[in-house]
Amino acid sequence: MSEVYRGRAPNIEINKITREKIKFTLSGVDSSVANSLRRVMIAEVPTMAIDVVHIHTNTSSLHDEFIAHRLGLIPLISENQDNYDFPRDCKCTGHCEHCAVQFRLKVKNQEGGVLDVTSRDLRHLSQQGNDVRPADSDGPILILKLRKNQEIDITCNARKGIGKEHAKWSPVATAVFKYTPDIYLNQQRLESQFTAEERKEIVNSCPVGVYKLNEESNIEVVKLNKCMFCEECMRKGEMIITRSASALLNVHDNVVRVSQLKDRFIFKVESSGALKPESIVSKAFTILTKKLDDIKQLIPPLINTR
Amino acid sequence: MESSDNKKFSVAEDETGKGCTFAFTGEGHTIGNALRYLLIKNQDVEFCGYSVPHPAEPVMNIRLQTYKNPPLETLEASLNQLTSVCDLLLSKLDSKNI
Ligand code: SF4
Ligand SMILES: [Zn+2]
Repeated sequence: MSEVYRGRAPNIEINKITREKIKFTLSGVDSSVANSLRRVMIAEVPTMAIDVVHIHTNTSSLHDEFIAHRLGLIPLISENQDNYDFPRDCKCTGHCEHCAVQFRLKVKNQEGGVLDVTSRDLRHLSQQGNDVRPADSDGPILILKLRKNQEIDITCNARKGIGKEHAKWSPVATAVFKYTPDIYLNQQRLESQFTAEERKEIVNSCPVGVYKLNEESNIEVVKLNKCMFCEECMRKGEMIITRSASALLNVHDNVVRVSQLKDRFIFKVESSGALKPESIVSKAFTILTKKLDDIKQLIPPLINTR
Repeated sequence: MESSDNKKFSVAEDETGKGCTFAFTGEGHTIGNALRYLLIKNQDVEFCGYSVPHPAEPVMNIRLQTYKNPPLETLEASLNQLTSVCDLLLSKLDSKNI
């Protein structure tokens, strides 16, 4: 199995986890597999989101569809989404406690001034489903504003879905990967043929600060993973060689070379708040496996009928 | 909307038995490209390519020609290969115990 990937076994290393972000390195796989993982995280990891909105009263300045759309985009904590069914898989005809969590939003501005209606005003209609609630621990999410005597009264259902159907169900804000940079510095030539000033020029040419000059004023790679393959450093190196006397030597032998390791991917995944970043990754693997199993289920009867 | 129960799979086989076009309903680039990669790495595969004929239709096709083994078996082997990669990575992730 592992030998298909240039002799390296697939591996995953976690570089950094915070509450809303994860950075990890996936290695020993092809870019097509890394891309499958990325696509599944964006479009096929289910979350809960407000999907059906009944507007009883709306005298605010925003029209109904606009409010419904804003409600849909509020991230809801979906760690327990396994307890809910997709509406299409549920036996009920409308909604029930297995496929929906109901909220009520009923606010009237009686005091005058401008009243903010936020995600904190969403109330659960029943005790059940309290685990599904707006992910607003960083501060309330503004839905709309009311002037004096304006009123809003809405009931809405949060349902389970995937980002393929509507982006509001996507658990990620960002899910990207890039190849691992590989930087080669010909230190010997850098020291013998370059002045300290020229070395500093190379260091400063990098827009993201990959390099640093150390105490001996030699170039050192300090933030390798920041590299975005713009090749500015290579160009600067070439330029210095060309303009100096050493141009007569070997121009084409670069002193700085940036290349990509094509079987090591640096992933960066930011959660929308609906799921913990690490559970987005592990759920994506589970879903990928399930997709493959579904296909395998469909194959055996075909073999037998032939 | 795409639902989990309208997943379909069909095979159009050449007379030679060495070439097949598989049609996957409800799948796309996510699975298609990864399977294509695994299949072209297989020594027995003469040709493999995939396409999504139209982005608005949930259909993905894989064309597979082999030298020796039946294409369907080869496809199944690649599915198992990809599953084992996923399982391995998931277990590695779980063992990190975050
Ligand atoms: S390629 Fe660009 S980002 Fe990378 S080290 Fe060179 S200058 Fe910096
Ligand atoms: Zn139901």
